[in-house]
Amino acid sequence: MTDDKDPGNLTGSYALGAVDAAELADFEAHLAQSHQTRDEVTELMDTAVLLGLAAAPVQPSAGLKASIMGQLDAHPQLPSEATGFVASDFAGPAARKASARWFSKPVTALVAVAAAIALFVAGGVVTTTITQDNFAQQQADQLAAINAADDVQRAAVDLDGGGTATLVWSNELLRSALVVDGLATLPTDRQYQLWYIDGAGARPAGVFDVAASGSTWRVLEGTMNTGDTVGVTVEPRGGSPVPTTDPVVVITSA
Amino acid sequence: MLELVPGEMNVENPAEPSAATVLQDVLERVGRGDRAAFSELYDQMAPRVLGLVTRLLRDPAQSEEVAQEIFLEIWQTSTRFDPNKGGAATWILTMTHRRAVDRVRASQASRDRDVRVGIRDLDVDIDHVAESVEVRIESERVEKAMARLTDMQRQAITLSYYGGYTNSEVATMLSVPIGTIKTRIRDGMIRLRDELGVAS
Repeated sequence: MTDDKDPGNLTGSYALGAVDAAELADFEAHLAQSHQTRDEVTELMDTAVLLGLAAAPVQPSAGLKASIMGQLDAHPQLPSEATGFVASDFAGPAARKASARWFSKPVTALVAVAAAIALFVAGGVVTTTITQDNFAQQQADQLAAINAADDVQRAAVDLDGGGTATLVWSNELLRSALVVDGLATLPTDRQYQLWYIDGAGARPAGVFDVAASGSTWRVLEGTMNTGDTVGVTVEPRGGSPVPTTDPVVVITSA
Repeated sequence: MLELVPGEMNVENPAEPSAATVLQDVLERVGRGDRAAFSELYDQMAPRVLGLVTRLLRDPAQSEEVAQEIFLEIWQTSTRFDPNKGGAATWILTMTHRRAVDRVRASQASRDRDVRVGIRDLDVDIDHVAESVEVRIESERVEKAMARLTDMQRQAITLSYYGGYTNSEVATMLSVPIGTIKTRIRDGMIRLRDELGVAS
């Protein structure tokens, strides 16, 4: 039925956080283009907040506040730099407000970081689906740190399929992140795996998936040594101890 | 916007700033690293945040853990809160719901949740705080608006928002096509929006 295909039909589900992961990137792309959809989603999100406020309040345990206050030092505030990377070429304050919200609401703050970087390095808009959990938060913090490092460097390569891969790294922090655009999606039993490669061989540095948009980013696990090459191979889901296929991306950090 | 919703206004004394304005001011101060403001924000919002998280997760210990993560995220990202893009309560509650849903979906127990658990009324027996008049008015408004939906719409919205289920999960539970679920949710949310007088 046509309802399955019409992205405009997902406004309510989006406001409730119920859009399936597989459809999210496409819907957000549609949002970026249709201010009618955006206005509707804005109103339905405000409606959803009333559902949230209607839940019966619960008194926290006595220790919770002290525990949170005690952790503030370990959780530095993020820099407030602008995340409004999307041109608000829509008329009227309401539309502008609505469009502004899409791209800088807390839900997409991390995406905005990634996208700002991708814009910088690749000149295109990246839509990344990120599961918002501690891992994603950690990744975003690390990515922000790499980009903020005094010695941040970048190197880009073209992919066989037509996209690009960009390595962003800091020798000072011993860390790197890979931003890809136009990488093919894989069958569900496969994942892309990252490797740090030097004269001694390849060290596993994490796995990642690519959404339908073909764009994503990932901070590599482990430490990077000066001059390391970063490679990406296709591996069984969960990764392999050593590469089992030829790399689809190879970038040297020197 | 949320600020325009009657339940959010200071009914007793219109000359005083509304609760929404106060909350926005507090959140902006948190964004400038003000810990006293953060403490105030916690006192104001913790029962609401924990209330919503508990509604989804049920387990009190796990709910407090998630509430803790949410307040740390509020602290860290408040630097990016911009009142021109939406109210403070919207910002906090949207983050709260997203975090709670992430946890529900991540825990294996939730994957095994029985269809009946999902469909039954999701009220849970917890030590609720005494509700202020303001909170009660809000809840009653929402309850009344929910009562005007069709049973099908109400069921789909409840499972999605308070149950944390995705469209395809709701479709499987109710044995209806996913397109039907999307339509029910959208029609129901539009009805709620109109009943509750939410407009941008």
